[in-house]
Amino acid sequence: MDIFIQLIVNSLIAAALYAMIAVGFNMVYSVSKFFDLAYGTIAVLGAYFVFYFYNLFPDFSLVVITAGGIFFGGFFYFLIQKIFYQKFEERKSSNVVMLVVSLGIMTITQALVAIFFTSQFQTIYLNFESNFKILGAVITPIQVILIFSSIFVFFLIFLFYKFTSIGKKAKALADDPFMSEIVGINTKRIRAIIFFIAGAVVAFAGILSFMDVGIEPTSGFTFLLNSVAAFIIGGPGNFLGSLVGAVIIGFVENFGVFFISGQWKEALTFIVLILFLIFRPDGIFKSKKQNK
Amino acid sequence: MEKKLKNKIIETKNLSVNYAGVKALSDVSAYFKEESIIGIIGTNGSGKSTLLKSIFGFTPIVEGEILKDGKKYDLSPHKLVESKISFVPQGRQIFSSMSVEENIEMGAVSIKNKKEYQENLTEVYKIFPFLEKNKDKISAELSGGQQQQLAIARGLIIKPRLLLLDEPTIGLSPDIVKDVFKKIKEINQKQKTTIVIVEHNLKTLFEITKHIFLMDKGILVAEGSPKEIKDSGILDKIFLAN
Ligand SMILES: Nc1ncnc2c1ncn2[C@@H]1O[C@H](COP(=O)(O)OP(=O)(O)O)[C@@H](O)[C@H]1O
Ligand SMILES: [Mg+2]
Repeated sequence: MDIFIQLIVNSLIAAALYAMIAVGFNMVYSVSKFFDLAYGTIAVLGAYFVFYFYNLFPDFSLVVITAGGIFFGGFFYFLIQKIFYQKFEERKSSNVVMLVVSLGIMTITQALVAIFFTSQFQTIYLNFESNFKILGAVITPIQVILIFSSIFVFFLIFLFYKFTSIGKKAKALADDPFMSEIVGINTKRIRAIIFFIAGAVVAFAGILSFMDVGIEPTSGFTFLLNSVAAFIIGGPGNFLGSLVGAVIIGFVENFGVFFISGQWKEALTFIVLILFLIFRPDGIFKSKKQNK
Repeated sequence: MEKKLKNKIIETKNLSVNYAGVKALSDVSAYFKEESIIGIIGTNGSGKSTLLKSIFGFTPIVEGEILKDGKKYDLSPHKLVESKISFVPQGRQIFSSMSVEENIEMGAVSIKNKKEYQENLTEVYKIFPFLEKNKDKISAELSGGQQQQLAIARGLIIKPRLLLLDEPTIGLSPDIVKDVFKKIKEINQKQKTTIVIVEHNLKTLFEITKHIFLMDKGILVAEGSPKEIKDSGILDKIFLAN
């Protein structure tokens, strides 16, 4: 019995992480309409930022360093968009070209991280009080923080799209890029802002994951895979869908690993992804009302 | 004669546009004078939409230039909207997942002043009362004619100096076409808005315009008053040949 509760808790922790990553991916996809393979590496960069500065200044506030890592992730992603993606976008490059460009950026960034920090798996020792116990399941303080951060980030993003002018413009841009230009939305500016926000969100997720389990230069791929899977399950543009997708993957992964074996973790994610691509290519909630 | 003194808001000079090597416009020199209603006619594929889209920077220009108030300008759409030029493209282009009022609001992103927006909104609703009644309706649920009028209303919310309308009446019933034309005329007279209208419905168009550009296969083949165009016999030549 205890093990089931533990599995459920673990699934929810995983879901909280994937939900954050997936919603950022969804935000970016909805304004740029291509699969950015470099997305996951932003999480890695955020994590290594914290790793580096925490080792350099161990007495400095971890909260401030984390905030720095979040900002760094947002800013770095903003620059990638500005320097690379926007240029190709202006040339009206095809999605294949964009995909290859982002693959290049992912590979280079990953290599740079490995050069600077070696390819070793890095962890952080946090001097927290003891773990919590819920109905027999163990949950660490950082996992509690992870869950609440995820909820908080979702709430902020909801407010952003609902109430801010930039959020509404981003929604319009996702809906119809041509019309957005026609009505006078500065689409370049909106895209840049969305990349910054998504970069910050995914960097935050990367930092929390680093604090929870650790990080290595190639972790970006896992982040990417999970966000793409949750994104496809939920459907493009559907942020709540991404959340549901993240929960599904979190549960499939944790229960699957328990019943089958640990080596199946990523394969299981792929299997779920492929099943959805076959049976529900437009996402779990594909609404019939959308007529475009 | 007084007409000649009017400023040309937009002027294309020897404009040529290629889509992937295929000529869509060649050597087109057209101009839109202030406060008038200008018609652009021609068969399907003759380059009418391309001409309007070029003004907004959406086409690959290979030769020639476009001037605004006699000067070259930045061809980014949001800059044009800021300078009070509105474009209502072909095909009932609206944000279908948004409500009627949200659509109009999106048309007003260049207006920073809330009061100005409210005043303009009141005027737009005066022209299209049914939009106010349905302002919270999701625009996908409007009829085709209503969607087209919403698209025009969206273009009007900035109180444009120049309004570019690409086939605003296509697919609408004759009654609604009449109504839309009446409104276009009204907007031109009350707000002094210059209106460029691409239109198939020549009879109705000729009743409200003073100046027509006739396009054929990417070339500007004739221009003049509706009467001059009709009398020249060129309409039969082009529309019957196609
Ligand atoms: N985006 C595009 N890519 C390639 N060819 C295009 C594109 N848009 C228009 N064309 C071609 O350019 C020519 C002019 O089209 P268009 O300006 O839409 O004509 P009209 O509005 O008069 O019907 C046509 O031959 C059309 O097929
Ligand atoms: Mg056309």
